Amino acid sequence: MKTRIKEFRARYNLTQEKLASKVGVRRETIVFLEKGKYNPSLKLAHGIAKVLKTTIDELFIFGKD
Amino acid sequence: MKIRKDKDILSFIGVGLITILLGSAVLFFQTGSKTIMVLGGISILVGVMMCIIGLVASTKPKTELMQDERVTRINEKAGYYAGWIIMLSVIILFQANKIWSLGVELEDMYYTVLFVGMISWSILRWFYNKRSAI
Repeated sequence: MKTRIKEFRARYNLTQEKLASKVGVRRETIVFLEKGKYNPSLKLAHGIAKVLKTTIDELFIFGKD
Repeated sequence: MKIRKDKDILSFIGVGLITILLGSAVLFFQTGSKTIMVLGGISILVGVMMCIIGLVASTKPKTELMQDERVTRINEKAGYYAGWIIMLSVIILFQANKIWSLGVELEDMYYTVLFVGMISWSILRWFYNKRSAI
């Protein structure tokens, strides 16, 4: 799974730390999400999409892996 | 190094200090009972550990320490496998006791199994935290 969190974060000038505190997770979790190494829950994915004013579909790109 | 001085950290260190004081008081006023002495010693040890954990935590931002869904998943997975390791170690200890007649009682195994469980849980937590794909 690939994500566009970094791209959207840059668009809204948000640091990993700020995004993490807005969605209520550790900064480490955002790091792993951006690397595509962690599959978030639907609740977290929705929370991030809401903060970054986008949709889950736009944010997460699901591949065969 | 920036040190946080918020309510959570201060109360955690405060509880640690109170535990040390209680442990010291128990040791000071003990009546010679071994159990009470052990309890006092454990209280001091727990208090010191709480103070150290509190001080280490105060150097990290709040978002580095919160219990989020990823940490919960890591803990659950590490706990699941640590449980299996504990069960396996109990089976191995029982079988070894049976085969080689080691004369080990169940009471003696208790601490070993507890130690194995705690160590394996810590190692597994570290491993899943580094591996990240949970």
